Amino acid sequence: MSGAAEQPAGAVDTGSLEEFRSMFDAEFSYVCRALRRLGVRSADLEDVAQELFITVHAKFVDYDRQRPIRSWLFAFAFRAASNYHRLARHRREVSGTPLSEPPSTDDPEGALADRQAQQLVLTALQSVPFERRSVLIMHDIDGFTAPEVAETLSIPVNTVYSRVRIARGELERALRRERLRRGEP
Amino acid sequence: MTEDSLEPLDPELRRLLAAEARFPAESAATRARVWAGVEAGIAPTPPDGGGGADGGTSGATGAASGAGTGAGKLASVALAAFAAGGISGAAIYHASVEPPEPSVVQVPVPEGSQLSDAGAGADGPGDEAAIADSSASSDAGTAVRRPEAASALPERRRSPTQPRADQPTSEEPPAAEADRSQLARERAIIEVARAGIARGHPGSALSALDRHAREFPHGRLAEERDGLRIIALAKAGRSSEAENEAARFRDRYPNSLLRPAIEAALGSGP
Repeated sequence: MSGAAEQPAGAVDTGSLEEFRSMFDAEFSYVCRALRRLGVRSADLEDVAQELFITVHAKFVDYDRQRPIRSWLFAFAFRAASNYHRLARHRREVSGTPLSEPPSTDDPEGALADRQAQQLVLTALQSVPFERRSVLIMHDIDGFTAPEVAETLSIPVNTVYSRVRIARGELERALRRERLRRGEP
Repeated sequence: MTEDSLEPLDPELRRLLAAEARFPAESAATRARVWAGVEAGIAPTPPDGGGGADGGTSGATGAASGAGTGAGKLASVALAAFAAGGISGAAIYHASVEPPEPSVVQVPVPEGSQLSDAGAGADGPGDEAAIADSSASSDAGTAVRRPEAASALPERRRSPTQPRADQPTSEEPPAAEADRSQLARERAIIEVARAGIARGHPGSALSALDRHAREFPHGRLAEERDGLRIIALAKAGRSSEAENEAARFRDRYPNSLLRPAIEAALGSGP
């Protein structure tokens, strides 16, 4: 990518803005997905994502391009969601939050099944305590290795393993409860 | 302990998590709205009376006063405070309209960790600029969810901040102005391509990208062009072409930020 040309003070470096825009376009869905899984409600998602990316922009110049961008972004999502939950009115996480409308598809039944799975998983995830949920998301959903998770969340690798193990059990119990609640087998 | 010491994921759980990951998260319209707000938020503040003039407090206040309604407003205020406060724990929280919530406490994290990158806020003016005066960010129907915003969306690519009336104006060298003009033209074409992909019209995207390649073969946005071309080819069902171009792209741009999106497009196809 082109380097930043010298510009008068106060001007936006349009070259790096393009790079940031490309990153935003590429990773916006991932970040929103991470925020949802971390418990940010649909009604607040746009605001939280917007502020998150503004913060990301401020640190973009420091991003080490040798690292996976998503683990770097997940750290921002973790912090944003953590602060979000600290606000008293957000502490009671709402299950069954309506999701955005799915795009049109040639396989509406498959899309409906996926949508129901998403709803089920998102609801059950909220039963897993935040710290363990974050590790579970990074490891079992996003596919990061335990060392990558450990580095992103600043915890020991062994803590990652133990949290994944415990969180999986918590998630499975939450899924069973949610299915019972819905009258599903 | 190693990865091998973890039991394999239960197949049913794996299936559910894979189905959850498949579902597309947000629409193009949502993405465009959020981008408009981000762009407004990262625009430099004006020199007089701007949000960044007196430090993180103003940045947080500016964000707070421009925030949306209800829960979104409080979320924005808290996040502005988190972004402005910095790892030293000096988060300053102002509620401009509602009674103040308890202070957002910065959790100290080790220096050098990714969390410290994410949480470290103010290095000074950079963060105030990043948070910016988000009240200057409204554009009906398109931009941020901030109905109280008063001023128009600033120009997308800001020219140098407006000089004061009592200061002599500076002129850009002709070469710099030509460079910005070319970048603007490149960007306009790339935007057409992006919109084509987002709307499910890869053919029109490819036409725009071909035009960019003709007019700006070595342009500053060549990387974006090449990356978008791969995505458009994949969306158009031209998989083998997409794969071939992706192989060249990986060699040419090994650290490109577009790679995850490209790999995802190659995996998902049309």
